[in-house]
Amino acid sequence: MSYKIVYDKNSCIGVGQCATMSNIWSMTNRGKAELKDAKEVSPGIFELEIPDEAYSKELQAANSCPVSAIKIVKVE
Amino acid sequence: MQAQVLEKVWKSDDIFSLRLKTPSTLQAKPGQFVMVTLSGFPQRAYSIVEEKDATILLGIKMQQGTSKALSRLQGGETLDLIGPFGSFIPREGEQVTLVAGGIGITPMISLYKHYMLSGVPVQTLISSNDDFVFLEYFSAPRLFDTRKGPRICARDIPQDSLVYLCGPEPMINSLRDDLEKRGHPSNMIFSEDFK
Repeated sequence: MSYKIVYDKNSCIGVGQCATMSNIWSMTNRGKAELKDAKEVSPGIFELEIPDEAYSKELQAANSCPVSAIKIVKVE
Repeated sequence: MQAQVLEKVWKSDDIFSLRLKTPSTLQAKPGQFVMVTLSGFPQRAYSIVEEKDATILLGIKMQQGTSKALSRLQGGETLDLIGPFGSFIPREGEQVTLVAGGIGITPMISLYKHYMLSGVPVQTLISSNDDFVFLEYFSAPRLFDTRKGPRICARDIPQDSLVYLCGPEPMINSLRDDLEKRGHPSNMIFSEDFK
């Protein structure tokens, strides 16, 4: 089993906590977070598979988002 | 953290400021915001207009939900705050242009003060289709009343200037596109859209 990050960029308000917790996140000069190497699966929705060992760290980054723009889901 | 409402001041028919007492100084950077929770309403982000002696001033446009509930506060109530947050903060530049639309003026107030105190030339362009608010914080802003005149456009902005854009998303996107078409370096344009 592996996991993927699902990021709703439309909901991002630029809090920036994710970027302080994980280096796969960065802040753009458009006031939004960017998920490195992620694929845009529908307008504004980005996904990135992560290795199991990254799960805990990325879950913390996801949970730090106060507008719940980041979710970690299982990939079956 | 919890913050106590000290004062509410109406700036126009639908825009007001709230001064909140915080447990300690937040040490917010210019342009940052806090997330505010009022019991029973969704959490919302509001820019910090100014921070002084463990108080912060927020500028809020009354819409539905949280902001409407906040507009009914009289003083003495307690709110939950987290923050400060945000990357719409000062960068080094030789000159700066602040472009605000409507309530997008709120993060510009602390940015303007920062650059003025730093000795960096800064000009402010403000557009509104309603009352202009918080003008007391600026010296000689250029005002664009879109009810009776032109909108702000890219040629109003000097090309070697850092540009901060804040306001409604369509205005921000259109100005950013026009600036980039005119050759303005994209890494000198910073934006925050207010929904």
